Amino acid sequence: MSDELSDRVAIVTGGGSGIGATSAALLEAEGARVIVADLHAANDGPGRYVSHDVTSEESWRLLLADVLGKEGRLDIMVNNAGISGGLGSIENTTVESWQAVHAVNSEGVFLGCKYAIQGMKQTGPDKPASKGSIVNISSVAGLIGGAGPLAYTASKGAVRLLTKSVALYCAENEYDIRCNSVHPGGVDTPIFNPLWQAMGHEQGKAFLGSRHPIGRMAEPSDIGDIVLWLASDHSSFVTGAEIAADGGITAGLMRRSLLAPP
Amino acid sequence: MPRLENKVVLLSGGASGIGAATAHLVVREGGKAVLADRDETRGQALAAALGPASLFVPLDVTKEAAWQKAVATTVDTFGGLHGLLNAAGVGVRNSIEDCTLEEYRRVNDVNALGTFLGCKTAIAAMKQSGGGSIVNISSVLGLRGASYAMAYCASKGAVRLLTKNVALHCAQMKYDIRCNSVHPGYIDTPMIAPRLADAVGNMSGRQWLEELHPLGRLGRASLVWSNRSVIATDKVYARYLKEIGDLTEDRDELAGQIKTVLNNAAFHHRPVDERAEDGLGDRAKRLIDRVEDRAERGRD
Repeated sequence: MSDELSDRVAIVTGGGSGIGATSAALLEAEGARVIVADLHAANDGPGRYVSHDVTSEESWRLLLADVLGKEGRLDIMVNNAGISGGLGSIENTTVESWQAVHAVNSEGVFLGCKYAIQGMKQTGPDKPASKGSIVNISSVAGLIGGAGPLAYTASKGAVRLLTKSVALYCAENEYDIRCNSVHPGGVDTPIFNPLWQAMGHEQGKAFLGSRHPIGRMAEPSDIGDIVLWLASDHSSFVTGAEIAADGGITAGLMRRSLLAPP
Repeated sequence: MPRLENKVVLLSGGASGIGAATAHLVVREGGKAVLADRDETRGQALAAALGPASLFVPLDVTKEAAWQKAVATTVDTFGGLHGLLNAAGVGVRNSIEDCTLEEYRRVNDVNALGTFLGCKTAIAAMKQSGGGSIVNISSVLGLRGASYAMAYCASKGAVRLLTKNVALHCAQMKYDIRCNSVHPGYIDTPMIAPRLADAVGNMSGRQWLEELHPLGRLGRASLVWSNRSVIATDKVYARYLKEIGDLTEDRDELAGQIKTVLNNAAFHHRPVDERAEDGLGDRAKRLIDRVEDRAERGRD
């Protein structure tokens, strides 16, 4: 434990579980005050819980007012909340499920960036550090097309590009705010609950792990470490970047086919 | 040898810009072009100009029922569906700070949801037609970010990735359907018309957009202005000219009518400025000369 991020305030959406919960814990361990914004409170989770729905602009207004009111500043935004939306392909995805996935994964990240910038700009220059970092969790499915269901893949492609737009906009306006996307491969989180239920947790992990060149799934901390790095000043020259943490999936081809049964 | 003989191609946004230019090429290569667009006036005019190998169908790309109807009409009329061009799109300037949720949703609905629905509906028909090819118009802003087009970047990033997902799905299912995305820079089409007027510093909007490209110019919707393809499009207009030629003997009126058609076909996105006006007028007159010349020779 150190105090690298002491006096910094972070919001982590979807912070109640998975990558979000681990990221929140890692940020807190570095001294940040962490607001866990989630639909549901986690038992004994890190940070201070605020009930939040990323698809609702009103909920974002309330969250920002709460954070600025109680903490007085905002330095780090981790747009992590996301849903898979089931396994629909181009042939059987409905408009309703497309919209439900995009509301959380795409519109939710858009609103997260918009309100983060508002909050970070209101963080006064008299404070120790009036600069910010936005970390958007996309997916390996935002890099290649075969790593997820249709609507999810499209929504993560949207996050990948909107991240670059936000990064360039902030740079152009001389805001000291960076914005980057993270592209995890399969991570052992509740997003795979349906698979765990169907195959069992260990078998499911082994199955998905065999789909990665590195031979295993990621643990949430594998991704949380990247979130921490992007949130900190150690990455101060990194903006608009897409950081793949995918066990080698996007690196290229191997003699052992990724599509072959394990 | 025509490359699209007996191929039926549905083009969303087919009444203008890249869609219209592609429709010309489809017809030139012996295919059937179904112009699917919200703009009924332009779409009908272009379909009339392209002749019986084309058809206009009204389409709001954000409505699944409209897609189903457009595809059904296509199959009923031409007997199948082999190609889909998802060219309908909106270009909006906004940033992460000034974009509203409504605007974000509207841009993403037309560009991303619209492309999704196009692929979904077309695949069902292509499976019954022995396979096909889907081309989705993304953008260079689906490859790189732009500070001034946040919602557009997001929507084109979605198109880029959904394309790959669709391609892999079709390959895995062993449908003979390919799916690819195209990432143009700024193309001189109606979509970017509002951009040309926005001055940036001491540059006109057009200059600024031209300067963004290492080649120093905007892209063209197709080769329609090159010498080679002008011949092809002239044939198309010559046919139309024959139809309206029966209506009037007045050369100037005829030239005016042709100009209207050329404008409707949206090769020029601007309210025709003087230079373009002259160009179109000259072109119309040359067309009349050529058709009259042919008619003379036909009589000999």
